[in-house]
Amino acid sequence: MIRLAIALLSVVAVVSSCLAQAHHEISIATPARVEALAIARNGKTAAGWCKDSKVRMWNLPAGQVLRSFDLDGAEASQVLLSQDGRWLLVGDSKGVVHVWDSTTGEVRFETALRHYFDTAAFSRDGTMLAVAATGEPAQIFDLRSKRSLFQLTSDFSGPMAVAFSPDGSLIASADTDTAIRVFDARTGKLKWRFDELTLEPFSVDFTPDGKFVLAGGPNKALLLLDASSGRVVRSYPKQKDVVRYLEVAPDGSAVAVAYFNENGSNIPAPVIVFDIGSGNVRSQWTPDAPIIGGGWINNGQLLVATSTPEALHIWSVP
Amino acid sequence: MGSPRITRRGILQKCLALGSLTILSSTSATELIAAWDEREKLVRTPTPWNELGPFYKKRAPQTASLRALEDPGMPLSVSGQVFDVRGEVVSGAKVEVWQTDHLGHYDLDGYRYRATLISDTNGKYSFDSVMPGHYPDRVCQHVHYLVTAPGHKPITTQLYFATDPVFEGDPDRNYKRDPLLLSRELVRPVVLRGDPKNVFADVTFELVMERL
Repeated sequence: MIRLAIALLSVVAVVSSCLAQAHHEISIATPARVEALAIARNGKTAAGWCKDSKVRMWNLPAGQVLRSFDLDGAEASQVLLSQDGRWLLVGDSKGVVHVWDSTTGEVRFETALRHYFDTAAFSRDGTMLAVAATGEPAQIFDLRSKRSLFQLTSDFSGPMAVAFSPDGSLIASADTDTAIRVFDARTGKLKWRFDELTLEPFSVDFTPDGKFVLAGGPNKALLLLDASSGRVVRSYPKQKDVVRYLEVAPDGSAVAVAYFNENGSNIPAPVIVFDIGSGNVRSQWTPDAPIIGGGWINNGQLLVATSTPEALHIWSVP
Repeated sequence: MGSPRITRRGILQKCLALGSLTILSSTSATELIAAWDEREKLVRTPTPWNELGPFYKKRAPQTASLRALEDPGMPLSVSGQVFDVRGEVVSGAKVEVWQTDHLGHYDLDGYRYRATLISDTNGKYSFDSVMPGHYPDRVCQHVHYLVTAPGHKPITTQLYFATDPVFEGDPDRNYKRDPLLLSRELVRPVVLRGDPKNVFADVTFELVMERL
């Protein structure tokens, strides 16, 4: 969903009343503004959709361009890297999903969706892909055979976000019909659905041990659910802003949440890191430019990216 | 000079004369052909899809009054009928609507400018509201719709207004200024009524559901 992607990528903010200051890690000169960025979990590569309709890959921290992919004039709405950084997914405004082998530049997989692209996720081992157009059910593909396996069902419309469990056995979906669902990743069979939300959840992720699912959205609070039953384990206190994106740290101790203000993505909103066990805020930082992507890397660093028309900036949030 | 256009009714009568149409009924052939012709005129195309949200909120109250008496903004009345693609009215359809206030703010904590309506025995629905505002992440003013009815595919769509300043008076030319607005058909004309002290905007928006 282009609008939501833009909302995610447009959290403009001021640095004030923060519990922490981010450390500026890397700046990379770019020929056009970077609109969306994905950072591989190994922290060694990043891929970004640039305003000149190209997707570029850089090595980190050197910032050299490793490869460039042309989108033929389309706009990307999401850039995604598999855990090992090998597979690069770009979903575009025409509803085409491209998966490239980032090491060779070869096309690994392509599919055309009914509407413009909304959301996608790789399984941790990079063999499965969940992808959804706006308003359509998520389709699950086996990337080895390039076969469509099944669709994830919902009452109407489609998911806002999908995530595979670390062992690849489950898929969680945050659905626009307001349910959170968990499916068997081998069969597509629904294992449970959580129906207590009145507003649709925007983001979902598993803890590294696969035991819990975290979800959040416009209700402004995080939920911790038992991944085997859907039972609520913990409800975290509401914040001022809408949960747009969340990602659990590699060691499972914390969750990073990117917020946006319900009155507009040009209004300041923070990134907050919560301790999952206690629910306490570990750190909070509001960048001074729109967030265009980021996430945890394997060494436990949380990286957040911003951009100017001439450069990409990557920050480390304590 | 071109040949005169043959009507659907004329084609059916020709089919009857040539034996490619047979009528087994006590009703006259003319009456049955006329009924067929009329039935086909009722066929409607499904309401175009438009994305659901965000900010859909279930369990909205069943009320046709989204606007409180002192609410600021341009009073707006929306009405319409729910049909299926065969032109038959769909009664008992659940029509969920939600929108921003006149300043472009969605109510996430409560249910302001959100309602659940049920189409009546004639498939009709209506509600009173205010003209929704603009907000930074979206180009056009709009009202969200989710329509569900047993035996029919749900409709997710949005209603737009031909008077939206974004269109500069020419929605035919300018409706694509909102990248999420994929169909001109969703931009509806606005009728003003009342007097300068008490002016209202009326909009009609018919909904056509596909059968499962």
